[in-house]
Amino acid sequence: MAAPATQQIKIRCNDEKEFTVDRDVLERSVLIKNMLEDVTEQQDAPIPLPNVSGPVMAKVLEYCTHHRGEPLPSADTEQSQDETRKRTTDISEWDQKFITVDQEMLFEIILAANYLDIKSLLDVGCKTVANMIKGKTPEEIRKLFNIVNDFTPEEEAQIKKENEWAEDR
Amino acid sequence: MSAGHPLIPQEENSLVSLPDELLLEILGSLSWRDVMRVRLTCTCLRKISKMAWPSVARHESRDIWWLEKPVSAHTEDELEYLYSRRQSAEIGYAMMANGTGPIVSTPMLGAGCCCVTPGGRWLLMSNNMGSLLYLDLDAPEITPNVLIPEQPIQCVSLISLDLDTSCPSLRFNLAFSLQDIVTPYAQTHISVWQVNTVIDDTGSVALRASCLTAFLPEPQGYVQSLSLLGDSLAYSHTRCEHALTAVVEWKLIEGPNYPKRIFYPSAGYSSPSW
Repeated sequence: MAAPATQQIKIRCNDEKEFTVDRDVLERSVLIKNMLEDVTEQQDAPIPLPNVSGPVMAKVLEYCTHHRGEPLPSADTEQSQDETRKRTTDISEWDQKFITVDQEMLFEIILAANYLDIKSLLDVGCKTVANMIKGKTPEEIRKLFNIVNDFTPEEEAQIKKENEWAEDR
Repeated sequence: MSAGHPLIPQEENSLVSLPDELLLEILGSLSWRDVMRVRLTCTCLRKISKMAWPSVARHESRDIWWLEKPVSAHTEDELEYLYSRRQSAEIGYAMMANGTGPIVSTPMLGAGCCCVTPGGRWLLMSNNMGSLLYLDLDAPEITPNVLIPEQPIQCVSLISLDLDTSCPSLRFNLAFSLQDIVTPYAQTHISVWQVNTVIDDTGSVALRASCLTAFLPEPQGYVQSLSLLGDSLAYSHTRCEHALTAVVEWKLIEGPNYPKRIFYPSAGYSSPSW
Protein backbone atom coordinates (compact mmCIF):
# COMPACT_ATOMS: atom_id res chain seq x y z
CA MET A 1 0.00 0.00 0.00
CA ALA A 2 1.30 3.42 -0.97
CA ALA A 3 -0.37 5.20 1.93
CA PRO A 4 -1.82 3.78 5.14
CA ALA A 5 -5.64 3.88 5.34
CA THR A 6 -5.57 6.31 8.23
CA GLN A 7 -2.53 8.53 8.08
CA GLN A 8 -1.73 10.24 11.36
CA ILE A 9 -0.79 13.91 11.34
CA LYS A 10 0.81 15.88 14.13
CA ILE A 11 -0.10 19.50 14.83
CA ARG A 12 1.32 21.95 17.35
CA CYS A 13 -0.69 24.81 18.88
CA ASN A 14 0.62 28.19 20.04
CA ASP A 15 0.90 26.92 23.65
CA GLU A 16 3.18 24.04 22.54
CA LYS A 17 0.32 21.58 22.99
CA GLU A 18 0.53 18.84 20.33
CA PHE A 19 -2.17 16.61 18.86
CA THR A 20 -1.85 13.51 16.68
CA VAL A 21 -4.96 13.23 14.54
CA ASP A 22 -6.30 11.11 11.66
CA ARG A 23 -5.69 12.91 8.39
CA ASP A 24 -9.36 12.86 7.27
CA VAL A 25 -10.43 14.53 10.53
CA LEU A 26 -7.86 17.29 10.11
CA GLU A 27 -8.86 17.79 6.50
CA ARG A 28 -12.16 19.31 7.65
CA SER A 29 -9.91 22.36 7.84
CA VAL A 30 -9.37 23.66 4.33
CA LEU A 31 -6.21 25.43 5.55
CA ILE A 32 -4.62 22.18 6.78
CA LYS A 33 -5.96 20.22 3.79
CA ASN A 34 -4.17 22.60 1.43
CA MET A 35 -1.01 22.48 3.53
CA LEU A 36 -1.01 18.67 3.43
CA GLU A 37 -1.55 18.62 -0.32
CA ASP A 38 1.49 20.85 -0.81
CA VAL A 39 3.67 18.42 1.12
CA THR A 40 4.44 15.27 -0.88
CA GLU A 41 6.89 13.58 1.47
CA GLN A 42 6.03 12.17 4.83
CA GLN A 43 6.91 14.73 7.45
CA ASP A 44 7.57 14.02 11.09
CA ALA A 45 7.67 17.63 12.22
CA PRO A 46 4.27 18.77 13.56
CA ILE A 47 2.33 21.40 11.60
CA PRO A 48 2.53 24.66 13.57
CA LEU A 49 -0.80 26.46 14.17
CA PRO A 50 0.30 29.74 15.72
CA ASN A 51 -3.21 31.19 15.92
CA VAL A 52 -4.91 28.42 17.92
CA SER A 53 -4.44 27.39 21.55
CA GLY A 54 -4.57 23.81 22.87
CA PRO A 55 -7.95 24.00 24.64
CA VAL A 56 -9.58 25.61 21.60
CA MET A 57 -7.99 23.07 19.22
CA ALA A 58 -9.34 20.25 21.41
CA LYS A 59 -12.86 21.65 20.91
CA VAL A 60 -12.31 22.11 17.18
CA LEU A 61 -11.06 18.53 16.86
CA GLU A 62 -14.12 17.28 18.76
CA TYR A 63 -16.24 18.98 16.11
CA CYS A 64 -14.17 17.68 13.20
CA THR A 65 -14.23 14.11 14.54
CA HIS A 66 -18.01 14.16 14.88
CA HIS A 67 -18.48 15.49 11.36
CA ARG A 68 -15.74 13.41 9.67
CA GLY A 69 -16.78 11.88 6.37
CA GLU A 70 -19.42 14.54 5.62
CA PRO A 71 -18.97 16.24 2.25
CA LEU A 72 -17.12 19.55 2.36
CA PRO A 73 -18.85 22.54 0.76
CA SER A 74 -17.33 22.97 -2.71
CA ALA A 75 -16.63 26.29 -4.36
CA ASP A 76 -19.44 25.80 -6.91
CA THR A 77 -22.16 25.39 -4.33
CA GLU A 78 -20.87 28.15 -2.11
CA GLN A 79 -23.16 30.78 -3.56
CA SER A 80 -26.38 28.81 -3.19
CA GLN A 81 -25.30 27.53 0.21
CA ASP A 82 -24.63 31.07 1.23
CA GLU A 83 -28.26 31.89 0.56
CA THR A 84 -29.64 28.85 2.38
CA ARG A 85 -27.31 29.44 5.27
CA LYS A 86 -28.43 33.00 5.72
CA ARG A 87 -32.08 32.12 5.61
CA THR A 88 -31.99 29.64 8.43
CA THR A 89 -30.60 30.06 11.89
CA ASP A 90 -31.27 26.42 12.79
CA ILE A 91 -28.42 24.51 14.39
CA SER A 92 -28.47 20.70 14.71
CA GLU A 93 -28.91 19.24 18.18
CA TRP A 94 -25.36 17.91 18.43
CA ASP A 95 -23.85 21.19 17.23
CA GLN A 96 -26.00 23.12 19.65
CA LYS A 97 -24.77 21.04 22.58
CA PHE A 98 -21.21 21.31 21.30
CA ILE A 99 -21.33 25.09 21.06
CA THR A 100 -22.81 25.56 24.54
CA VAL A 101 -19.61 27.02 25.97
CA ASP A 102 -18.69 30.25 27.73
CA GLN A 103 -18.51 33.33 25.59
CA GLU A 104 -14.74 33.58 25.52
CA MET A 105 -14.52 30.01 24.19
CA LEU A 106 -17.30 30.73 21.68
CA PHE A 107 -15.37 33.68 20.25
CA GLU A 108 -12.15 31.61 20.25
CA ILE A 109 -13.88 28.80 18.34
CA ILE A 110 -15.22 31.30 15.79
CA LEU A 111 -11.75 32.81 15.31
CA ALA A 112 -10.16 29.35 15.03
CA ALA A 113 -12.79 28.16 12.53
CA ASN A 114 -12.16 31.29 10.49
CA TYR A 115 -8.37 30.83 10.58
CA LEU A 116 -8.50 27.08 9.89
CA ASP A 117 -11.17 27.63 7.24
CA ILE A 118 -13.82 25.24 8.56
CA LYS A 119 -16.92 26.79 7.05
CA SER A 120 -19.56 24.67 8.76
CA LEU A 121 -18.07 25.34 12.22
CA LEU A 122 -17.79 29.04 11.48
CA ASP A 123 -21.48 29.00 10.56
CA VAL A 124 -22.46 27.28 13.79
CA GLY A 125 -20.49 29.88 15.76
CA CYS A 126 -21.88 32.89 13.89
CA LYS A 127 -25.45 31.57 14.06
CA THR A 128 -25.06 31.04 17.79
CA VAL A 129 -24.00 34.66 18.28
CA ALA A 130 -26.84 35.81 15.99
CA ASN A 131 -29.33 33.79 18.06
CA MET A 132 -28.01 35.42 21.23
CA ILE A 133 -28.59 38.89 19.74
CA LYS A 134 -32.15 38.18 18.57
CA GLY A 135 -34.89 40.16 20.27
CA LYS A 136 -32.58 41.97 22.69
CA THR A 137 -32.54 45.71 23.39
CA PRO A 138 -29.33 47.67 22.69
CA GLU A 139 -28.57 47.79 26.43
CA GLU A 140 -29.08 44.03 26.80
CA ILE A 141 -26.78 43.40 23.82
CA ARG A 142 -24.07 45.63 25.36
CA LYS A 143 -24.31 43.82 28.68
CA LEU A 144 -24.29 40.33 27.15
CA PHE A 145 -21.29 40.92 24.91
CA ASN A 146 -19.17 43.29 27.00
CA ILE A 147 -19.71 46.14 24.60
CA VAL A 148 -18.79 49.62 25.80
CA ASN A 149 -21.07 52.44 24.71
CA ASP A 150 -18.42 54.57 22.98
CA PHE A 151 -20.64 57.08 21.23
CA THR A 152 -19.64 60.71 21.52
CA PRO A 153 -22.18 63.00 23.21
CA GLU A 154 -23.18 64.30 19.75
CA GLU A 155 -23.76 60.79 18.43
CA GLU A 156 -25.62 59.88 21.58
CA ALA A 157 -27.95 62.83 21.07
CA GLN A 158 -28.52 61.80 17.45
CA ILE A 159 -29.33 58.22 18.54
CA LYS A 160 -31.70 59.50 21.22
CA LYS A 161 -33.50 61.44 18.52
CA GLU A 162 -33.72 58.37 16.30
CA ASN A 163 -35.13 56.40 19.19
CA GLU A 164 -37.68 58.93 20.35
CA TRP A 165 -40.35 57.38 18.20
CA ALA A 166 -39.65 53.95 19.61
CA GLU A 167 -39.69 55.12 23.21
CA ASP A 168 -43.00 56.93 22.79
CA ARG A 169 -44.78 53.66 22.18
CA MET B 1 -13.63 51.10 16.16
CA SER B 2 -11.44 54.18 16.44
CA ALA B 3 -14.33 56.38 15.27
CA GLY B 4 -15.89 56.35 18.73
CA HIS B 5 -15.08 58.27 21.84
CA PRO B 6 -11.27 58.24 22.15
CA LEU B 7 -11.45 57.89 25.93
CA ILE B 8 -13.64 54.81 25.93
CA PRO B 9 -11.83 51.76 24.53
CA GLN B 10 -13.67 48.50 23.93
CA GLU B 11 -12.96 45.58 26.25
CA GLU B 12 -10.70 42.83 25.02
CA ASN B 13 -13.14 39.92 25.22
CA SER B 14 -16.00 41.89 23.73
CA LEU B 15 -18.03 40.88 20.68
CA VAL B 16 -16.42 43.74 18.76
CA SER B 17 -12.99 42.17 19.16
CA LEU B 18 -14.02 39.78 16.38
CA PRO B 19 -12.80 40.82 12.92
CA ASP B 20 -15.12 43.01 10.87
CA GLU B 21 -15.83 40.35 8.24
CA LEU B 22 -17.10 37.94 10.91
CA LEU B 23 -19.24 40.62 12.55
CA LEU B 24 -20.64 41.36 9.10
CA GLU B 25 -21.45 37.67 8.66
CA ILE B 26 -23.27 37.63 12.01
CA LEU B 27 -25.21 40.86 11.52
CA GLY B 28 -26.08 39.90 7.93
CA SER B 29 -27.98 36.85 9.18
CA LEU B 30 -30.16 38.86 11.58
CA SER B 31 -33.62 40.25 10.91
CA TRP B 32 -33.81 43.97 10.11
CA ARG B 33 -35.43 44.71 13.47
CA ASP B 34 -32.48 43.13 15.28
CA VAL B 35 -30.00 45.08 13.16
CA MET B 36 -31.86 48.32 14.00
CA ARG B 37 -31.16 47.60 17.69
CA VAL B 38 -27.57 46.40 17.20
CA ARG B 39 -26.65 49.66 15.48
CA LEU B 40 -27.50 51.55 18.68
CA THR B 41 -24.94 49.72 20.83
CA CYS B 42 -21.56 51.19 19.80
CA THR B 43 -19.71 52.90 16.94
CA CYS B 44 -18.14 49.67 15.66
CA LEU B 45 -21.43 47.80 15.32
CA ARG B 46 -23.09 50.93 13.94
CA LYS B 47 -20.51 50.93 11.16
CA ILE B 48 -20.78 47.18 10.47
CA SER B 49 -24.56 47.20 10.57
CA LYS B 50 -24.61 49.65 7.68
CA MET B 51 -22.56 47.22 5.58
CA ALA B 52 -24.91 44.38 6.56
CA TRP B 53 -28.07 45.90 5.04
CA PRO B 54 -27.70 44.39 1.53
CA SER B 55 -27.35 40.91 3.06
CA VAL B 56 -30.27 41.51 5.44
CA ALA B 57 -32.44 42.77 2.59
CA ARG B 58 -31.54 39.79 0.40
CA HIS B 59 -32.54 37.15 2.90
CA GLU B 60 -35.74 39.02 3.69
CA SER B 61 -36.45 39.21 -0.01
CA ARG B 62 -40.05 38.08 0.33
CA ASP B 63 -40.70 41.12 2.42
CA ILE B 64 -39.22 44.00 0.44
CA TRP B 65 -42.26 45.53 -1.24
CA TRP B 66 -41.32 48.79 0.47
CA LEU B 67 -38.04 49.09 -1.43
CA GLU B 68 -38.23 51.45 -4.38
CA LYS B 69 -35.84 49.33 -6.47
CA PRO B 70 -34.34 45.82 -6.50
CA VAL B 71 -32.00 45.26 -3.52
CA SER B 72 -28.88 45.23 -5.71
CA ALA B 73 -29.68 48.71 -7.05
CA HIS B 74 -29.70 50.29 -3.58
CA THR B 75 -26.61 51.59 -1.78
CA GLU B 76 -25.98 50.68 1.86
CA ASP B 77 -26.91 54.22 2.87
CA GLU B 78 -30.21 54.04 1.03
CA LEU B 79 -31.06 50.68 2.56
CA GLU B 80 -30.27 51.98 6.03
CA TYR B 81 -32.46 55.01 5.41
CA LEU B 82 -35.28 52.84 4.05
CA TYR B 83 -35.15 50.46 7.00
CA SER B 84 -35.18 53.40 9.44
CA ARG B 85 -38.14 54.79 7.57
CA ARG B 86 -39.88 51.46 7.76
CA GLN B 87 -39.37 51.34 11.49
CA SER B 88 -40.91 54.75 12.04
CA ALA B 89 -43.78 53.86 9.71
CA GLU B 90 -44.42 50.70 11.71
CA ILE B 91 -44.44 52.64 14.95
CA GLY B 92 -46.71 55.21 13.32
CA TYR B 93 -49.22 52.54 12.37
CA ALA B 94 -49.06 51.07 15.88
CA MET B 95 -49.91 54.49 17.30
CA MET B 96 -52.87 54.81 14.96
CA ALA B 97 -54.20 51.47 16.17
CA ASN B 98 -54.32 53.02 19.65
CA GLY B 99 -56.57 55.73 18.30
CA THR B 100 -53.93 58.47 18.57
CA GLY B 101 -52.94 58.57 14.92
CA PRO B 102 -53.49 61.58 12.69
CA ILE B 103 -56.55 62.02 10.52
CA VAL B 104 -55.69 64.03 7.42
CA SER B 105 -58.41 66.06 5.79
CA THR B 106 -57.92 66.78 2.11
CA PRO B 107 -59.72 69.31 -0.06
CA MET B 108 -61.47 66.55 -1.96
CA LEU B 109 -64.61 67.01 -3.93
CA GLY B 110 -65.60 63.41 -4.03
CA ALA B 111 -63.05 60.67 -3.78
CA GLY B 112 -61.38 59.35 -6.90
CA CYS B 113 -58.81 56.63 -7.20
CA CYS B 114 -55.81 56.11 -4.97
CA CYS B 115 -52.42 54.42 -5.26
CA VAL B 116 -49.40 53.91 -3.00
CA THR B 117 -46.05 54.28 -4.79
CA PRO B 118 -43.39 51.53 -4.67
CA GLY B 119 -41.45 52.01 -1.46
CA GLY B 120 -44.63 53.03 0.35
CA ARG B 121 -43.72 56.65 0.99
CA TRP B 122 -46.19 58.46 -1.24
CA LEU B 123 -49.95 58.14 -1.52
CA LEU B 124 -51.55 59.42 -4.71
CA MET B 125 -55.23 60.36 -4.70
CA SER B 126 -57.43 61.90 -7.35
CA ASN B 127 -60.65 63.82 -6.87
CA ASN B 128 -63.63 64.31 -9.16
CA MET B 129 -62.27 67.60 -10.52
CA GLY B 130 -59.50 65.75 -12.34
CA SER B 131 -56.79 66.80 -9.91
CA LEU B 132 -54.18 64.39 -8.60
CA LEU B 133 -52.85 64.98 -5.09
CA TYR B 134 -49.95 63.36 -3.26
CA LEU B 135 -49.28 62.85 0.43
CA ASP B 136 -45.92 62.17 2.07
CA LEU B 137 -46.74 59.35 4.49
CA ASP B 138 -43.37 59.86 6.23
CA ALA B 139 -43.88 63.51 7.02
CA PRO B 140 -44.51 64.38 10.69
CA GLU B 141 -47.56 66.35 9.48
CA ILE B 142 -49.22 64.81 6.44
CA THR B 143 -50.57 67.45 4.11
CA PRO B 144 -51.92 67.01 0.57
CA ASN B 145 -49.98 68.57 -2.31
CA VAL B 146 -51.01 69.01 -5.94
CA LEU B 147 -49.24 66.77 -8.46
CA ILE B 148 -51.56 67.37 -11.42
CA PRO B 149 -53.80 70.46 -11.29
CA GLU B 150 -57.57 70.21 -11.60
CA GLN B 151 -59.51 70.35 -14.86
CA PRO B 152 -62.65 72.36 -15.59
CA ILE B 153 -64.74 69.20 -15.78
CA GLN B 154 -66.37 66.85 -13.36
CA CYS B 155 -64.91 63.49 -13.98
CA VAL B 156 -63.89 60.09 -12.73
CA SER B 157 -60.25 59.13 -13.06
CA LEU B 158 -57.96 56.13 -13.17
CA ILE B 159 -54.20 55.88 -12.61
CA SER B 160 -51.53 53.33 -13.38
CA LEU B 161 -47.84 53.52 -12.37
CA ASP B 162 -44.73 52.22 -14.10
CA LEU B 163 -41.58 52.41 -11.95
CA ASP B 164 -38.23 53.46 -13.45
CA THR B 165 -35.76 51.20 -11.61
CA SER B 166 -32.73 52.75 -13.33
CA CYS B 167 -33.10 56.09 -11.59
CA PRO B 168 -31.24 56.59 -8.28
CA SER B 169 -34.23 58.36 -6.75
CA LEU B 170 -37.90 57.44 -7.04
CA ARG B 171 -39.13 58.07 -10.56
CA PHE B 172 -42.11 56.60 -12.33
CA ASN B 173 -44.37 57.13 -15.28
CA LEU B 174 -48.00 57.62 -14.57
CA ALA B 175 -50.96 57.04 -16.88
CA PHE B 176 -53.97 59.14 -15.91
CA SER B 177 -57.40 58.96 -17.48
CA LEU B 178 -60.19 61.47 -17.01
CA GLN B 179 -63.79 60.69 -17.92
CA ASP B 180 -66.26 63.55 -18.06
CA ILE B 181 -69.35 62.33 -16.22
CA VAL B 182 -71.64 65.28 -16.91
CA THR B 183 -71.47 65.91 -20.64
CA PRO B 184 -73.14 63.13 -22.68
CA TYR B 185 -70.81 61.34 -25.07
CA ALA B 186 -67.83 63.30 -23.81
CA GLN B 187 -64.46 61.90 -24.68
CA THR B 188 -62.10 60.32 -22.22
CA HIS B 189 -58.70 62.01 -21.87
CA ILE B 190 -55.66 59.87 -21.27
CA SER B 191 -52.29 61.41 -20.41
CA VAL B 192 -48.91 60.00 -19.48
CA TRP B 193 -46.72 61.87 -16.99
CA GLN B 194 -43.23 61.45 -15.68
CA VAL B 195 -43.07 61.90 -11.91
CA ASN B 196 -39.75 62.73 -10.22
CA THR B 197 -38.63 63.15 -6.65
CA VAL B 198 -37.29 66.69 -6.18
CA ILE B 199 -36.18 68.99 -3.39
CA ASP B 200 -38.64 71.86 -3.25
CA ASP B 201 -38.04 75.54 -2.27
CA THR B 202 -38.42 74.79 1.43
CA GLY B 203 -35.77 72.05 1.25
CA SER B 204 -38.16 69.15 1.68
CA VAL B 205 -38.69 66.22 -0.64
CA ALA B 206 -41.57 66.58 -3.05
CA LEU B 207 -42.97 65.01 -6.23
CA ARG B 208 -43.17 66.84 -9.57
CA ALA B 209 -45.02 65.66 -12.67
CA SER B 210 -44.38 66.66 -16.26
CA CYS B 211 -46.69 65.66 -19.08
CA LEU B 212 -45.14 63.37 -21.70
CA THR B 213 -48.18 62.87 -23.90
CA ALA B 214 -51.95 63.33 -23.93
CA PHE B 215 -54.49 61.87 -26.31
CA LEU B 216 -58.13 60.98 -26.86
CA PRO B 217 -58.47 57.22 -27.21
CA GLU B 218 -60.14 56.07 -30.41
CA PRO B 219 -62.77 54.78 -30.73
CA GLN B 220 -64.42 56.82 -28.03
CA GLY B 221 -65.65 55.14 -24.92
CA TYR B 222 -65.88 54.99 -21.17
CA VAL B 223 -62.48 53.87 -19.85
CA GLN B 224 -62.83 51.33 -17.08
CA SER B 225 -59.30 50.07 -16.69
CA LEU B 226 -55.82 51.39 -17.42
CA SER B 227 -52.38 49.78 -17.33
CA LEU B 228 -48.96 51.30 -18.10
CA LEU B 229 -45.71 49.39 -18.60
CA GLY B 230 -42.72 50.68 -20.56
CA ASP B 231 -43.83 51.87 -23.97
CA SER B 232 -47.18 50.08 -23.73
CA LEU B 233 -50.38 51.52 -22.43
CA ALA B 234 -53.43 49.27 -22.27
CA TYR B 235 -56.98 50.38 -21.59
CA SER B 236 -60.39 48.79 -21.62
CA HIS B 237 -63.43 50.78 -22.44
CA THR B 238 -67.09 50.44 -23.25
CA ARG B 239 -69.57 52.55 -25.08
CA CYS B 240 -73.15 51.33 -25.22
CA GLU B 241 -72.94 47.72 -26.35
CA HIS B 242 -69.35 47.95 -27.61
CA ALA B 243 -66.46 46.88 -25.45
CA LEU B 244 -62.81 46.65 -26.31
CA THR B 245 -59.33 46.53 -24.91
CA ALA B 246 -56.54 48.38 -26.73
CA VAL B 247 -52.76 48.39 -26.37
CA VAL B 248 -51.11 51.60 -27.52
CA GLU B 249 -47.47 52.56 -27.97
CA TRP B 250 -47.87 55.83 -26.17
CA LYS B 251 -44.47 57.28 -27.12
CA LEU B 252 -45.51 57.26 -30.78
CA ILE B 253 -48.75 59.16 -30.27
CA GLU B 254 -48.96 62.20 -32.52
CA GLY B 255 -52.45 63.36 -33.36
CA PRO B 256 -55.22 60.83 -33.89
CA ASN B 257 -53.08 58.19 -35.63
CA TYR B 258 -50.86 55.95 -33.56
CA PRO B 259 -49.99 52.25 -33.47
CA LYS B 260 -52.53 50.30 -31.49
CA ARG B 261 -53.73 46.76 -31.18
CA ILE B 262 -57.36 46.22 -30.32
CA PHE B 263 -58.88 43.18 -28.72
CA TYR B 264 -62.63 42.76 -28.66
CA PRO B 265 -63.59 40.46 -25.88
CA SER B 266 -66.25 38.11 -27.17
CA ALA B 267 -66.94 35.27 -24.75
CA GLY B 268 -68.22 36.27 -21.36
CA TYR B 269 -69.19 39.77 -22.32
CA SER B 270 -72.85 40.64 -21.92
CA SER B 271 -73.87 43.94 -23.44
CA PRO B 272 -75.77 46.43 -21.34
CA SER B 273 -79.48 46.55 -22.11
CA TRP B 274 -79.85 50.28 -22.82
